[in-house]
Amino acid sequence: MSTTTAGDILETLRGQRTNRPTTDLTLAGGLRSWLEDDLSPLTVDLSPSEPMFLSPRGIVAPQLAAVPGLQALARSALVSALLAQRVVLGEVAHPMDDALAALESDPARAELVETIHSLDADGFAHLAAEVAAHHAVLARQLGSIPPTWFPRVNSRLSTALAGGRVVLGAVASLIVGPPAGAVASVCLLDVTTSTLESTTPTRLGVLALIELLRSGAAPLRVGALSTATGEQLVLEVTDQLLVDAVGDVVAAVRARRSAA
Amino acid sequence: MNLRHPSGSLPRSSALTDLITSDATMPERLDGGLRRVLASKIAMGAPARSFGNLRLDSYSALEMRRAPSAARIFAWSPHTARRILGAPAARRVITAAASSPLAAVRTEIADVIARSASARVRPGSLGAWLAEAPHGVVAAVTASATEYATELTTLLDYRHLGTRVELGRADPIWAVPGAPWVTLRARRDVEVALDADHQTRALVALRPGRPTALATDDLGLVALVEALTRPEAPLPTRVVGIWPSSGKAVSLEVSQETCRRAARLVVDAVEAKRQRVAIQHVA
Repeated sequence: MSTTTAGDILETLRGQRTNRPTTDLTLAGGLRSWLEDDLSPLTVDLSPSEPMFLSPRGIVAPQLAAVPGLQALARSALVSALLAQRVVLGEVAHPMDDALAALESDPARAELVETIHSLDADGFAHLAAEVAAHHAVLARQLGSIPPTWFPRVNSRLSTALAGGRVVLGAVASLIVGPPAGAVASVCLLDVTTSTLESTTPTRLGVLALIELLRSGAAPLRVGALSTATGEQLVLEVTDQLLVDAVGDVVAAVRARRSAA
Repeated sequence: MNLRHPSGSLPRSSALTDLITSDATMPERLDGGLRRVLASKIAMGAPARSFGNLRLDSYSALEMRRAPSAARIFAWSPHTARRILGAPAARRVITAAASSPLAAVRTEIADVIARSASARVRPGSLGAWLAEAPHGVVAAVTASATEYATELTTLLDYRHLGTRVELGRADPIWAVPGAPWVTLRARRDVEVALDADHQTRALVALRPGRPTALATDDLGLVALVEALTRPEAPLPTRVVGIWPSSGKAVSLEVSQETCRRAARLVVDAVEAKRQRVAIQHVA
């Protein structure tokens, strides 16, 4: 895995307008059929009313994906809020205050907000310093995004497989580009407060696969940015990346079923 | 129940536009008897006026089928402001009044805040809330509304639809005759005229997440309320549900049976609500 810490990751993600691959109209149907064939025998005893949920993170690290610490969750949520602010307003004057205000306005985050407010003064100051440091990386490596790129932040993507018995779902930190027509145009960026790992390409492949199955068109590129280290990785979405992702999904479902 | 799905062709907006504008069946009006019986059953079954207004839309009516959950008090949030800001923002983009969904949402927010300052808006309005909201909250609201506006803006081939499309109009609301404290609301986002002479039309409803087993009931209720609020027009030809985050879409072709089924759902929801109110009152 070859990562870099320099440059505006969005420019790398979007690339040159004149150099975009043609959309393969049969790819989504073909890969879906492949997935359905392999998943059906593995999931026959699951009920669509209680499907197996799989995320890119859960696929690469099932044992770690279950319970990140509350502090890590809080940091991640706060940095996500700052990403949104950078994209839609362009500037962040007070990272911790702004991010916490955003979280406080969302009833679904009430528990997390309570956790943050229950930190003692040192804990709160430590978290605020961490958030400011992560934001500095965002500010440095995420240039301004023209509104005409149709940016969307923290978008939920999902696709159901095997008659709804398996649901692949992800939250894309940032999506740019209008829906694909004749050529690929959508780029997805995963912003993580962790470091990039050897499994990051796999995670990005699954993210690309979910977008392909959801929209019918493969994205142009997928990328990851670590706000912990500033490392960034951008991958071209090739057929091989998507085929590998199919294998990863099937392997993850098989592993879950064996463990159950 | 007649359901149709879009073709798998790209761009998706063209496939959905084709699905929405495909040939209409012979238009028919809502059965007048159904309207009277529905009004009567709701009036008899609803909780008394003293228990407050009862507002039912697809979500709340279908929610009545589930076990009661804790009552939620309405509060502005990025989620509750999303559609209110996102739909008019999408209209700005479609009518070329804004260059992008994000630019349109920013303008929409500025307008809403400006209106709230004009003293014609009640306290607690969206504009009043946004005017005092910290930067982080405005950013979260802008991001959420922009996502909605982007979905709506890229959903259909608006160039092909031209002036036949109406986007982001206020939801139709039917106040029940004999029990006006009970209202039915149809949450739909786009209306497309199919044949102006016969007033046939298709409705489009954006929904979050992925379709559930209750999806067609949701769309049927949209059709029923639309028909109740426009008695002079025929039934909507179809209601197309679209779940952008999962890339799913289905068209419910509307018939009298669709409306009868939706009416039964409403009556059941009203009855369930009355029972819940009674239990709470006794407790």
